[in-house]
Amino acid sequence: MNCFEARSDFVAFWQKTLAYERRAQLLFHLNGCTRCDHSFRIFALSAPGIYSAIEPDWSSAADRRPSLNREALGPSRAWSSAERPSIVQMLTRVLPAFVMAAAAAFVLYFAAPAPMTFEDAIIAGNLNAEGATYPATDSVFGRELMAQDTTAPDVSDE
Amino acid sequence: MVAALSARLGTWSEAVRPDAELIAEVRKGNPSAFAELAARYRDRVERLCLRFFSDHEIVRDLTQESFIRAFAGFSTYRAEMPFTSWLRAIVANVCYDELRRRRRRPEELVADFSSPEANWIQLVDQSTPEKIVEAAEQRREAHILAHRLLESLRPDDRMVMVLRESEGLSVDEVATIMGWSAAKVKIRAFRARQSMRKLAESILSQQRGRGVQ
Repeated sequence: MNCFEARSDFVAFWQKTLAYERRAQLLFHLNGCTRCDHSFRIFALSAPGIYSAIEPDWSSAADRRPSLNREALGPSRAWSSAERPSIVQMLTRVLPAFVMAAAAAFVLYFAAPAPMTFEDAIIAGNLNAEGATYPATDSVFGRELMAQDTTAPDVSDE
Repeated sequence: MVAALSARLGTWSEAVRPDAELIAEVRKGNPSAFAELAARYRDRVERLCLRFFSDHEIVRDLTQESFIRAFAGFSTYRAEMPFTSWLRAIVANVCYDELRRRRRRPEELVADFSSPEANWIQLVDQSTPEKIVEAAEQRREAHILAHRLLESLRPDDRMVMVLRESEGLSVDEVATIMGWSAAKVKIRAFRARQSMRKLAESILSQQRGRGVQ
């Protein structure tokens, strides 16, 4: 085997497709030819990226569950309706949190004492007006009423 | 009994529908037929992308991008050419665009080596050829280092290197995919091999320098 033949067998040797006899000849040649041996070592540095089988997904191999490989079974993520979460799936995922938040807001709103204005108390016939509050954002109409209504209790003492 | 059998046969014939039938359905506007085609070719598309990128997340994105482009440009597909060739050209161009987008300087890529990479280089330098071949299969760092070497190539060179060497395409096939002349493909292939060799030699000589010290 000459150098040209030896070098042209590198790929087959790397991929283990070289016939036994030819492989033995190549190894014999590499053993005796320093230039081809050096060339093989240079070849070996890049060969895993070019001539080897595609390397496994090392990063996710440990995490992957052995039971079901959906990627192998199903179509591309881009097109798989089974893998892509549908609107219903997304809603069922999001809805519980949303419902909980809404329910909590609902309970808080009704459990908290309603800010009752004095005129509300009068309309409702509730004379226990001590609980009436006047928020800062009270309407101009409310303020006018309070100013006019002398029966309005002075809550500032409390 | 007959109905069950025919139903079963129907299912079976649907399961192995030929590409041409699916392509005809896609042309009629049936996206689920394209989904079936995508499922059929997904592994091949991923394998080709993995020749360019070692990160599986990137590969998944590029696979998806390739199928999106294929679907969007389905009208450009001509029935007389093999579907695989048409799809491969799309995937190659998607990867080429990504390579150009991610271009890094060679010195960034082969400046330092991790400890496992250095061990691998040492093994390549000192072991017998048989041991090197056996070890390469088991060692992740062998793949990582090889990818780093490939990443140091210009995108044009890398395209040629992968399509010619890994995929085993002819000069004319590469030229058609890339839209280049055959002469350009040959020149790029020559330069790619040269720069890979130079880089690998410098890595080995670095290793030997360390060994001497």
